[in-house]
Amino acid sequence: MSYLWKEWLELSRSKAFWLLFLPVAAASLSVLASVKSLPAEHGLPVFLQMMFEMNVYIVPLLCLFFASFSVMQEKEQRTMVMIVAKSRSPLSFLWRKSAAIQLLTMAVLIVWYFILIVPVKFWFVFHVPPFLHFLLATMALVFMFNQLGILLGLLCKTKIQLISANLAVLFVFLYLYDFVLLYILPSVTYDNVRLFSFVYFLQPLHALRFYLETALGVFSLDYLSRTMKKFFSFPPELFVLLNIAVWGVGALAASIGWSRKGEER
Amino acid sequence: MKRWLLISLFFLCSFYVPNEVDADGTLQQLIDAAPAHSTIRLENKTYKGDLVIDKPLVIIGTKGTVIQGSGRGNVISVKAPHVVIKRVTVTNSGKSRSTQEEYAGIKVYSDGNTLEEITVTRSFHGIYLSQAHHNRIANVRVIGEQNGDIAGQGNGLHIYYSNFNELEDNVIIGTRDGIFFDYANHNVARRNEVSRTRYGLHYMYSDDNAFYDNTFMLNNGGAAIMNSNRIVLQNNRFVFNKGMRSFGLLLQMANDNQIIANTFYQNGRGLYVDQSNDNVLQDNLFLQNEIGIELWASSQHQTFTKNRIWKNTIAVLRLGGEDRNRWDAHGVGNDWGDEAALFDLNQDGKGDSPFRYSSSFHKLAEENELAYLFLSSPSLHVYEKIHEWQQAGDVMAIDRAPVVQKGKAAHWVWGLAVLGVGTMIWQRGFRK
Repeated sequence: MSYLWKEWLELSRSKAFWLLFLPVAAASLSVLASVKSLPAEHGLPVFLQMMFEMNVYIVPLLCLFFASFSVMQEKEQRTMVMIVAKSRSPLSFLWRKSAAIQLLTMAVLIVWYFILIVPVKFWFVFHVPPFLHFLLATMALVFMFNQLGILLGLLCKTKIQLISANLAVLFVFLYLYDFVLLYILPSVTYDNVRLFSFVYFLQPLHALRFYLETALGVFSLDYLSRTMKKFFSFPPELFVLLNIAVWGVGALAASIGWSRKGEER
Repeated sequence: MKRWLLISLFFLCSFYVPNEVDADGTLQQLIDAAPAHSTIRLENKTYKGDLVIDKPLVIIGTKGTVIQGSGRGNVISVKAPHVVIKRVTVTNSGKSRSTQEEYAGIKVYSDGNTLEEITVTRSFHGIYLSQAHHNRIANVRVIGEQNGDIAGQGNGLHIYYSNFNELEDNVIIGTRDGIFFDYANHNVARRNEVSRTRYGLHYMYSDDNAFYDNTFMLNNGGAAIMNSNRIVLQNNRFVFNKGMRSFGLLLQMANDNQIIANTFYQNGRGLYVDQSNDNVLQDNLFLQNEIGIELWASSQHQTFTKNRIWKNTIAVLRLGGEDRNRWDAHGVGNDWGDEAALFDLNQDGKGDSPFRYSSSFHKLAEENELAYLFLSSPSLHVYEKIHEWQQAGDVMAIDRAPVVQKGKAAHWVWGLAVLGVGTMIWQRGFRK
């Protein structure tokens, strides 16, 4: 609890966090302004889907920078040493730090979306399940990139290194991953399309987008060719779980491994 | 005297035909008993359906009036002209696909009828016009199965061999097609909202129709015009029709259509043209679609003028061969937004040089349909830019008179000029 409070104080005083949060809020409002003329009955899924499209670009940035700098700050200000020295192991520090960061970033975003939903209710017919699907997809995004941020915060030694590492991770997920896939596309055939499907959806942005679009019913999978049917043959939930396991839990496991190594040293 | 008065009164009463009939007994009995051109007012209750109306009548319900079919036929069959049905909910038509006839909530076989403020649920087709002309269908709401087996249900409004009908302010959700025209000419559809269907609006072998101010949203395809000619589409909105094979508007074997001032926003493909010729597209907005306009080489001589083609991932995708379409008419091309960095030194609102839109995506799309998966990925922009620098892209469209918004022309030129002047000043200062 004390960790959570400490983290909250740091977060609430951190100008950088609010500066990064500002684009999330501004983007949500601009999306709302752009869709408010849609028919009331169907505006909500469109609004949520478009908001997620915006989040894909902003939330990873927010989470990576906030989480990684939060860990880096502990190292730079020597508070980490003090916390660990206070009878707690580096591993316990990691758990608590992760939990505090995850809870706070998720809470701030959830509170914001609950505030945002008030004007949305005036314009559109509101249904709870689509909103929950949106929150779930966004929180999965937050979880994965927070964990990656924490890992980077542990791995990097200087702020410059950390900024570069954060930008590199963003570059990989936003550009490089798909860029490589585009070049291997000509070698994908009907026989290996399932394997390609796994590789394609191992990109969290694709998996979460696919999950949300199908859950909201805004993406049609009717009248597909044989190849496409085979490509989309796995349920979207599977890919979301796979991504959480690979990127979120994987980053956490790597962080634990790194901390243990530190303990041994 | 009194006796004579009573006899006269009796005779007067026997000749008097009431203009309004109270809704007691079965509804079919009431309809059969009612004189032609009379009005039947229905109560706030559920009536048995499978009705046949074979004389001109006005049937008006109240808020809770439901006519429930047996599930074995049409709930209401209108066989006489000039029938008016208003303010009722019609439900439970036959849904069997192995019968000779396709059933509907209301099936109309006659001319000059009016159907207003009607809700149709649990029916194969919502309203079916069969060789019925000059009818008016307004404020009708058809609710389909939504997300169910799309082939196992009918259309919201099915217009079959029917001409000169008006379809206005209807809302259709979750049927096979929203409004389906089959061999139906000279019909007008206005201000309808169609969502979550296969095709919001579907024309087959139907000519000289018009549709204005309709909204098509969240369908597999907004509107599909197939084997139909000389249709006018104006001020419609095709929004958020997304999916691997989705489109705002499909023209397939459709010629001489006028597509004017429509909005194509956030669709898989805004416009998809295949085997269609001589269509005019003017004043439309193609905004933030994955592919703005997809043209197959089998389609020729479309004219694109005064359109705004903005912020689409791929503005124009031409597949299968040479472009034989015109991207300007009477010296006026299209506004390509940020795609085109054009000079307009004389400020006449036209680019000083032709605009060539190039892209290499068509190679990927022709090789492997999985390429469409990357249309929402920012990597595709990088891929396109790299190919543009390598000059590996092919020209998708040549606009000889591109529109440039006044005052917005080539901001980057001014930026470069400022940068150049700044560099000169800095260099002079450095020498001193």
